[in-house]
Amino acid sequence: MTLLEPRVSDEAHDEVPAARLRGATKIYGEGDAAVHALNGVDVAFGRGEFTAVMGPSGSGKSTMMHCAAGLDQLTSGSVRIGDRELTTMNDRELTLLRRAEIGFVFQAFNLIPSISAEENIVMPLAMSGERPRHGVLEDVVSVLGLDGRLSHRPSELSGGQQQRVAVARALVAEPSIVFADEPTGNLDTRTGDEILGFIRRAVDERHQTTVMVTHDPAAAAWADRVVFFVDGSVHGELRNPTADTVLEVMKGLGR
Amino acid sequence: MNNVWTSALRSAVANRSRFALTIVAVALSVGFLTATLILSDSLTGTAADDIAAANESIDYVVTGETIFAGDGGPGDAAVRAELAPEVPAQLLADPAIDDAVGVATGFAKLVDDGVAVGDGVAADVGRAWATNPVLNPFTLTRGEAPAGIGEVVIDDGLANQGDLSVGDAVEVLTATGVTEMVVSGTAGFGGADAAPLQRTILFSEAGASALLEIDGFGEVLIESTADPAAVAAVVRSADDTALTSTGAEAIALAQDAVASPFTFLSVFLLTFAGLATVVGSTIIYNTFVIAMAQRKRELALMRAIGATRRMVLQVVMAEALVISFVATAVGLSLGLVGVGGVRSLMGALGVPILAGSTVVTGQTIVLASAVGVLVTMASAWFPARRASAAAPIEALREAAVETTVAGRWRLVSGSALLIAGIGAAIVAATAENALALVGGALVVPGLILAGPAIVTVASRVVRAPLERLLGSRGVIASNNLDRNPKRSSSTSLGLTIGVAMVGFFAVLASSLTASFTSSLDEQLTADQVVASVNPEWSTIDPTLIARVRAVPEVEVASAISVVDGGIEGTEAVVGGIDQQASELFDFGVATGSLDALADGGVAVWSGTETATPALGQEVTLSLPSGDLTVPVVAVFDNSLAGFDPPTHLLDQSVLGAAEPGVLDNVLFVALSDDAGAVDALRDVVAATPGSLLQTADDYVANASAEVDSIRNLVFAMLGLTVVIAVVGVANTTTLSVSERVREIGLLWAIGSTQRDVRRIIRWEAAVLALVGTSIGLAIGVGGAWALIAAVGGGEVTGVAIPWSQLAVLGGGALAAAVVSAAAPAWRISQRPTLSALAG
Repeated sequence: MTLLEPRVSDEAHDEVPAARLRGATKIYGEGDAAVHALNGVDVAFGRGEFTAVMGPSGSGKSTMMHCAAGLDQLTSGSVRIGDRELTTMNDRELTLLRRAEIGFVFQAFNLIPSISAEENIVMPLAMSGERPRHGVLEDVVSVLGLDGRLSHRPSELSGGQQQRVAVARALVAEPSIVFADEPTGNLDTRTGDEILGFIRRAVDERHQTTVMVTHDPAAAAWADRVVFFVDGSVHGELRNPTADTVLEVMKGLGR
Repeated sequence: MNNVWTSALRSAVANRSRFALTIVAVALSVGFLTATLILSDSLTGTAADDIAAANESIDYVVTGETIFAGDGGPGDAAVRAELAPEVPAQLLADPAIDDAVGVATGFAKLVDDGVAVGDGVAADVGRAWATNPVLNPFTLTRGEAPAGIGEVVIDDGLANQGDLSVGDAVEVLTATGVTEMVVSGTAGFGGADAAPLQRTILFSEAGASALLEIDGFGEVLIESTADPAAVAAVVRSADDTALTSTGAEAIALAQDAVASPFTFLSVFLLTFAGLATVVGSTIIYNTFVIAMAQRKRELALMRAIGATRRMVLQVVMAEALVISFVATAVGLSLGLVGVGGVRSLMGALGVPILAGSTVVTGQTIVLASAVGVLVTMASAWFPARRASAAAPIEALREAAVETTVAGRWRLVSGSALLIAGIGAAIVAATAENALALVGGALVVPGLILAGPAIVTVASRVVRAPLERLLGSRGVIASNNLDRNPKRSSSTSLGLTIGVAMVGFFAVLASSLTASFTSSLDEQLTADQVVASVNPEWSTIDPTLIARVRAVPEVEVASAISVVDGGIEGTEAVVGGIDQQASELFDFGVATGSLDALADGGVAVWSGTETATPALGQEVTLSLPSGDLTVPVVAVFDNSLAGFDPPTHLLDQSVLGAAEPGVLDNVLFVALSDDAGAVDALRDVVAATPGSLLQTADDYVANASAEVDSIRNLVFAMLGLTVVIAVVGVANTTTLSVSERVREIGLLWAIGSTQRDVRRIIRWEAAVLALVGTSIGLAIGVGGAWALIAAVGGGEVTGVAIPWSQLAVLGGGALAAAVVSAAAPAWRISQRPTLSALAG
């Protein structure tokens, strides 16, 4: 347990974090059947930081991410993206917030099958009638090695290529935060490492705030910080993780 | 979102296999609607325009008073009194009238080399050629006007059909027999070759009066610049019961008269088209519901990355619009091609009711397209709105099979409507109350509402037998039906409506046929029958009966003529019979005696809707030539066959005196047993155009031929509704199978064989189809029974259920539904287990 650092109070930061949950509670069902997916979670994701979220199945890490990303509603508590409170927003405001401020990479089914890779990448911007800032698309595409693949349909791309397109889509609108839900869960180790490398580069070069839910200690090791979830609460966190230290903590969690 | 359209188009193209069945369903519905609209327009062809063009120069038209207004049904045209022969001369005497021409028409049939020219329903009409072109609707196209008794002008239709030209020698059969004539010219009517539904021979004034046996005029055409009131006053001074119409009014009346026999058929056709659209739209709706469920994750992804609800809705609706355009275009072409098919089919079935050309109006195209696009869009709207309203996270979670439970109010109100509808039908049948029949229509909304509950009950009923038959697979099949009872019920509702319509007409047609033929079959004792070439018209030369009686092998022969008239404003069909008639046909005299007819009495049929008068009571029959008041001397129970059997019988001499120039409708003949007797009779009949020799058995069979051929036509059209419904079953099966692909993968993973899975799917379709067809058959038969009991009257005496036809219908629909489910079942069974498990 020594590996886990004492939790620094969020109030200690001067800067407003990219995202912050406070007293976040999420209850599914009612009465005896009620499941407390989140049990008063306090967590913040600093700007320009790459955070991995880990925990056993059912620990609430995915629910936390969905609520932080405005895809799901908390039962009680507060979620902020920057200084904007999500819990009081209506569906339309949440939608526009997701479009402008949030990028997503899912484990599977990341792309719209009927349109080309390029159209998928620019989709969030196209929805507001915008184009990528000058040079951003070219930059992202060349970093991700997608040149020559842009006119392909998702079905014509390999799993790793599809996931790179999804990463490109998440980055190209330059959102204030990217949420990735097991982005390497469906990929082999080598392809998975490629994807994680790209995310790491985006964080380092573009200061892209990123939150990644994962099961894989090796994947978590790419992050600046790992937050551990157990039974709907934050159990602790680890800075500058390695696969070994993450594994060590995880063994402790399984006690 | 400016790429809504491109992405919608691409998505529709990319998912074409998913939408193939939707397109088929929309296209079939639109095609059916297009075809029926074109058919109903083509029934009267360009008749209305031709009538207007031919008669535009006529200022006023005088007609006699109306005897029977006609009720718009087939063959129920208005019957009017004739005007006296001196009316035109009286009108001409007034200075306000520039010219007045009496129009009298009589039967005249053109014969070329012993063969009658022209076939089909059109009437063979003879009339005088009016020398004043202003008052002549016909215009010479070749040759000259008829100059004497021996010359005629024929319409261009006859000239084309008989390949005749000016100077050709022809024979003309009229009331006075066959006359040799020369064609002096040919004439057109308005823009057309012939007057609508008529073949016209135009005689000279002298020829008409010598051959047509005319003693009055049906109408008098007037050329006058005076105002309507002045002309009407002049007409009243000549005949105070006559009616005067302006040229425009007369044109409108004539147009109505041509159209009215077809109004019934048009309404009929359009009702089918409407029901087919209802069936089609339930299927289209189902497709979109399931397509939405399949795309749940894609739409959720769009929502997650920032698409608003509106955008999702727009994308889906844009896609639906693309699909509706494609499907509607396909449907329109199907309809246009289909009309050609239906026309040749009707020709083959012996119903050449479409005399005119195929008329495709802009209205047809607009209406059919609008229905196609709107039904598709509406069917897409509701599921699309539901899909776009769902929280994105719901859809991103595991996509579960959509299940629905119908609300309680739905069950209660549906059951109430069903009970009310069935009750109304029973009241209609038992109390012979036609109005209550309308209430019977409540069954349809009742079924729509209570359908899910019925499916639930059905799935529970079949659970035990299916379990015994198939074990746990049977339980899975029956439970799956109950999983989404709303969808199951709207799928089987399509079959219910289609099967109900076909069943309804099968029962109706067989009941009509049975009532027509049973009385004839039992009462007719003749060996041979000489019939008119067209059962709707009397075409037999009245002198033929004498020549038939002169044949040595003929033992007894009787001629019957028929005239349409009225009695106290209702329709009366007056038959003229001779003394021999009752030897060959048993009229079933209830009271009195037919012998008294010769003294100028009338016999009344007990099957009429009006009360049967007492013996000795005087009744006044209105005939086109005038009223005839005669005492009732007999009441009879059995009338002749057909749609309009005689309701009143006179002696032929009495009818002939009141209504000269009437041809015979049918001759009954009893022959001796001599070999060659039939040949001897045939020689005499063959020499007389307009008459057709048949055995009595053939005649009985032909009496229902008209009903049979219309029934076949109706079957052909309604069959398409069943086809649409079967497409619906295939559709629902395909989509519900793909929705359950993981579940099926799981079944394989735990040891089911591919055959097991196929069997489960087939049984689901079979149970669904069984529910649909059996309810459909019940409604069809019940509806026909209620209709016949309520309005059948004396003409349709009882319900005859065509068991074999119904069995073929039910079995066919069931088999087609099961077969249609086989393809998707096979396709899914070919999928590897792991790929199925992955979804």
